[in-house]
Formats: sequence, structure tokens, C-alpha cells
Amino acid sequence: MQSPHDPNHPPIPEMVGATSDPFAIRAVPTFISFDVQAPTGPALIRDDRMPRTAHLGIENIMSKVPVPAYAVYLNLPEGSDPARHPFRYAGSLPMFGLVEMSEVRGHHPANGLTYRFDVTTVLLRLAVLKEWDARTLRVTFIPEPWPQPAEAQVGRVSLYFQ
Amino acid sequence: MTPSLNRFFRNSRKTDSVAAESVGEFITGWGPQPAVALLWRHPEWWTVLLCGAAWVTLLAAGWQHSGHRMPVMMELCHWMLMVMAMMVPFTLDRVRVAAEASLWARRNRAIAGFLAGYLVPWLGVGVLAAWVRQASWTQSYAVPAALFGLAAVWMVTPLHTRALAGCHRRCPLAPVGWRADRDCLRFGGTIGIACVASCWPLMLACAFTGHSVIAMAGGMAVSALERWPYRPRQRQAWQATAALAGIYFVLAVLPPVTAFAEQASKPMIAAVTSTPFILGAKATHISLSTSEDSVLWHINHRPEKRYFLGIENLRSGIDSPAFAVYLNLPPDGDIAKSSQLFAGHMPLFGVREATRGTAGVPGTGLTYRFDVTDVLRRLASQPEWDPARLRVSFIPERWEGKAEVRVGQVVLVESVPGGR
Repeated sequence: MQSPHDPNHPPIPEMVGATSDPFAIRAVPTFISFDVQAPTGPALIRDDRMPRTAHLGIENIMSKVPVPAYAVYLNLPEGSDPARHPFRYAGSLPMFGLVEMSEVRGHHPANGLTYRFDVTTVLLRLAVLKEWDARTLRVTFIPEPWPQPAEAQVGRVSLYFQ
Repeated sequence: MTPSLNRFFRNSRKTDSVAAESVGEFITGWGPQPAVALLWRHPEWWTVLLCGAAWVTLLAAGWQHSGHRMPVMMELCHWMLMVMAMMVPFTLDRVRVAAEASLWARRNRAIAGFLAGYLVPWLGVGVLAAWVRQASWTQSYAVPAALFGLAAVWMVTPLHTRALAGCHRRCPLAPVGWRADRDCLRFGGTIGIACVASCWPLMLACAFTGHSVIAMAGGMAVSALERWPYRPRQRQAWQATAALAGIYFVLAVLPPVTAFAEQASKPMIAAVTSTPFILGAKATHISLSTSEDSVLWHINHRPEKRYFLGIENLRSGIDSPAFAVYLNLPPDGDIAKSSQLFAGHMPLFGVREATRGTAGVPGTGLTYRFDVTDVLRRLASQPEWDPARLRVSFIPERWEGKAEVRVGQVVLVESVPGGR
């Protein structure tokens, strides 16, 4: 049995949903959604009495040109003002070093940037407000003001339960 | 739904969780046993087992086939086993990435897809290598020495550095459907191509040693220096590769007795006649039986070896002519133009006495032994060389009378100078 508070054996993460294809984010808000499956592995069977957590992964962000930082929101109603929905805020995507991470340099592969946010609280709040059905997750990328064209490729957005 | 999610994230034992609605039953009060948890934490475990099995198979085969020339399919099988044993261990982190980036139910399928994609580029190189290795000029230590040297040069090029970085790529994977399978194959293929670009001279060198265990272990150590540390230890990897090149260069140029003194072991029978036969006053041609894994397949790959043709227990009750012995003499070949096939001369002087025996000496007849190393190496360097069709021709001197010499056995043995 897994013992609680064992730093040597952290809970095993289980991917429960992800986007199917890469997509582009530009200097305007971008919405994507993906299906969420029920956990069937360690995230379901865990019994160490520790709270489960949910993590949102924004993986393999790549671009050849500088792009603005983005704020990421979950289940943000389309057309609404993000400032009025702070509890849907998942995290920020600073794009510092994006262009460099998108090229093979020295011993670094061109994997781009990858971010992972703990969205447990956000999902629970959405559930309390009955604004998440646990089957589809909608992710919104809100760019900071940016005067010039920008485009970055996001490899995948994924949700992990742990 | 809300209370369910709350309970789920609080790791509650209540059975009406969000998971229960979808999977039918929420298992509570049970956690994985340590062994199961270990396998869950390391989904690449069965890939490790495959690598271990490949090593065991290669080691077992190494005692019998190392250095042998093999048919194309056998060569290709050994090549893929070598890739599995030497290269796949360095992709285990990518295997794990593929598994952890997939839904729980399809983790093993994702690993299988990744491995299939990874092995395809290596298979292409393997087909080429197996085909080239059929040429007799590849059965020499000079070839792996040159390839290890090429690997050492390749290591200091920017292309190798770029390919090495590509071995750590990560590709996004779709969660379900054919896109998920496609992405796993593509992920494996991407890593496989980068691996081929990074390690092709090293792997070819190992293959052209005849999948020598020593070369493979050395090659794997070189790859480990490049792949396992956070910063590749390219200087040490280069030195190790250069050392391997040096070892095989020494093997290629040093006198065999020096390089292989420790291998001076008992002679090995390479070919033999199955039954006694009679030599008459006319030319006689006999075939020697060889096994499929006969040492004759890789004769030019064993420069330290010498080959001796023994014609044993020649017995006759009457005077007999002398015989000239040739190897693979064409049936209608001109003897005068076949001096390069000449193995030796049997004068048969004293054959009657040797057959009759004397007091205290059994009549075992005469026995001749010829060093045919040079003849065999010349034959083996020809493209039509086939040890299974090795023939010995006995050409008698002009002889007017009757001749009948019984030959007990013709045997071709492999030995080394200084050996027994």
C-alpha cells in the first residue's frame, strides 16, 4: 500500500484527457476544448488518504517569432471579460526563451516550452458552481496586448489526475 | 456531480464519485501492492525485459556464431537483436514519456507503437548492413577498425551533436483513436531516425565484428557516456571509440600468433569426408562435408587461423603412383593453369610397407598433412565461394599399371600456430 506523505513515492500521475492535434495561438484569444475520460488507473485506485490533484499541461509550445505571454483560463464563457472570472484562472504562460527553445541548439532538442499548472482548486470551484461536467474541458488562452502579429504552435493541452 | 468531484479530489472512500459514474465501480479501500506500484511507476518494465532477452540471445549465439558469416536473414535477425540490446536501453526515458502521455488503458499499446516506429529506421540500415556483410572483404578486422575510426570522427561533427540532441525529442500524442497510434509511431520514428543519425557508424562497426560481445559492450559503453549523463561526456566517448578502433586495428595488423596466443586451442575440424574411398590411376574428385556454421564461412575473418588438409590412412598392397592434390579444381580445368589451387604432393613412397606394418608397428598406412591456408583464403575471397561445395582432387602421375589406394579419411582442420 502507498503510505501517506512518502516523498520517495509520489502519486503516479494519470493522463485523463488531451487535445488530439497541435493548434496555433495568436495575438487574439484562443479557445480549445477536449474530452476528459474517467481515471481508470492509479488516480482512481489511490488510497493513501491524501487529496487528489489535477494538473493542466501545456506542452511543446514552439514558435519562430516572439509571442506575448498568455493567461490560461478554464471554462471561460466565450466573449466574456476574463477579469470578471478570476476563479477560472489556471496560470500564466511566459514566453521568455520560446524562440531559442524551438530550435536545436547545442545538446538541447527543439521541444519548445512546456508548462504544468495545478488546477485542482479551479476545477473544484467550477464543479461547485456547476460549470464543469467533468467530461469536457475548455481552455482559453488570453494574450497580453501585443502590437505585432504573433503565432505559436501548441503541441498538446492535457489534463492529469494524480 | 459536485459532491462527487469533491469526494474524488479529497480521495474519499465514498462510492458515488465521479469515476464511479463512468467506470461502473469505484474501487476503494485498495491500493496497489508494492510490486504492482513499481510496475505502474515504470511502465517501461517490459521493454527492459525485451532488452535483457536480446542480450541473453546474443550472448548465447555469440559462443557459436560470433565472427561467422551468416545468411542475410540470420544477419538481419542478429542486427535487430543488437539494436534491441544496445540502443533501446537508451530510449527507455522516451518509452516512459510515451506511456505517461497516454491514457492509462492504452499505455502498453503506446509503448508498442513507439518501439515499432523506433525500430523501422534501424531495420532499413540493418537490411543494407546484412547485404553488404555477405561480401567476403567484410570478413576482416580491418573493416570494424575503419568503422570505429569513422565513428570517432563522426562524434566530433556538429551533425552528430544535432542528432544526439534529437534523441531527446518529445512529440505530442493524441489521446485516443487512430491519431494516437499514428502519433506513437511517429514519436518512435522521430527518435529512431535521430538515433540512426547519431550512432550509425558505431552500430555498423559492432555488426561488422560479427556481433562480437566485446565490441557490443564497448559500443554500449560509448553510447551510455553520450546518452545517460545530463551533459554528454563526448570527450570520454570519443576516447573510448578511438580505443575500440585501435584494438581492432591491432587485431587487423598484428601477427596472428601475437594477437591470439591465448586462443591457441585444439584444432577444429572444418570439413571431412564421410566414408573411405579408393584412388585409382585416373583423377579422383571428392567432396568434403561441412556444417552450416562451419568456420570456412568466415575464413578471411580469422586471420590468426591456419588450415591444414589431412589425407589419412592411405593404404595399398601394390605400388602406386604419386598424386597431386588440388582444392576446388574445375572438372575440366587445366592443371597447368591451376597452380593457385595446388594443395600438396603425395609421393606415396613406402605405402606398401606402411600398409603391411612391421613388428610392433600397426599397418595404418601413410598420412599427409598440407597447409592450405593460402589456397583457401584465395578461394574465400572469390564471390562464388561456397564452403558447402569444397572439393579435393587427386591427380595421379602418369601410370601404366594398376593402382588402388584406399584413403581412410580426408579432413580439413583449423588451427593456430603454436596451438596443439
